[in-house]
Amino acid sequence: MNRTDKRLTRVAVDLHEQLGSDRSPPARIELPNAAWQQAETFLQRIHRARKRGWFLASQRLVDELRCALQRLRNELTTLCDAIQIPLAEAGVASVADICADLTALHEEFGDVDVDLRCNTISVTTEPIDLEGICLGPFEICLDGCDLVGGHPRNYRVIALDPNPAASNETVTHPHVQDDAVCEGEGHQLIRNALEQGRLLDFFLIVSNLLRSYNSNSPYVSLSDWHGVDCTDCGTTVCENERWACEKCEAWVCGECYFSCSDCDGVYCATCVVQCARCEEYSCSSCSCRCARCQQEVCPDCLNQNERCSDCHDQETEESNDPPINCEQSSRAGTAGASV
Amino acid sequence: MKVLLINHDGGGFADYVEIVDGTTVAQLFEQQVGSGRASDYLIRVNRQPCPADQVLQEGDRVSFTPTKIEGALR
Repeated sequence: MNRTDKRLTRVAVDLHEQLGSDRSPPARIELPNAAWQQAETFLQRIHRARKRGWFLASQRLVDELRCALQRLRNELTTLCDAIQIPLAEAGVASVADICADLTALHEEFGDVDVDLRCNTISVTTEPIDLEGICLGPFEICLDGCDLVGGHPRNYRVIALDPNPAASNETVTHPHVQDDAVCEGEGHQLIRNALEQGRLLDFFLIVSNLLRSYNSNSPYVSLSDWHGVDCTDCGTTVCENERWACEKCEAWVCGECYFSCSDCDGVYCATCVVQCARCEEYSCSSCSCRCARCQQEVCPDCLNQNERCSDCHDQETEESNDPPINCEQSSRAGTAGASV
Repeated sequence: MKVLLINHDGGGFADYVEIVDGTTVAQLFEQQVGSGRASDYLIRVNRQPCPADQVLQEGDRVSFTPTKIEGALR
């Protein structure tokens, strides 16, 4: 047995002992009798209410029965999940299995590091490329101190040549933040692999998870990885610092967006109109045109006669003033009399 | 004869399954995964890559690991 084999065997023995000491008697399994009993009670009450013609009461009881059945279903689902775990505990990897896994890790990943002092096992993936975005290689580092109870905090995924999201430097992969993976559908697979001491499977599952992208639930989506350019000023902006114009759907940054004074909608510079009177901005749907001067104004500056405030004042003034011709003739008449 | 099967598509439990002599890896995959495509899985026999027509032996350790495992916020 060479030195490397000895090291691997020592790690395997430690891990196997740990897995053995983690075996605890399975918890007592109890069926959801209380939830079932409650559903039965509601059902009996419904029959009684219908028999007596209390239709309103029976309808309300049907709603309560539905809730009770949902509760029962939830409890059954939880129970199903819970009893799967003790079943999985049936097979725990032997020392030979763990040794074989550690040897196979070298063939799968090439770059494997077993640190006896820190009790960690690390592998390095190839550079991960998702939808054309290169995220670099990742080191998957498993802490061997607590394989079962420590999950999911007992392993870290470290970007070795990070290309983090523009909006958040701690997000180095759509499903990795602060070196922790959001496991999604891999959660139970990873847990089972750790509980059974299947190290090779653990590293394969985590590396496959890193090679996959779930666009429905990322920390930062790949489409937003590098941020988006503001349509108006061209600045790169990330998801929580940008707004979509409600008319043309262009992205604008916090410096360039306009809020319509009437509908409060958010718009880009090309989709708003500045009021010729008060200089407030309103969207093209809310802005109006003065029927007299034809200038665009906000709704607040247009009166009921579709006149802007200036034209309204002007018209009022004109209607109050006597006609110029009459005034002139009266002045002329007065002048003639005096002469 | 029995082989140890770790089907990560079915919850990832390790379990011994009974197979008839002469069963190949491809046949076991079809029996266990059904409609899934073999190209979507890492298939290993005794931790090693294997050809589809490899005939399984008593006590072999077979694992089917999906290549696409979607992470998600929980």
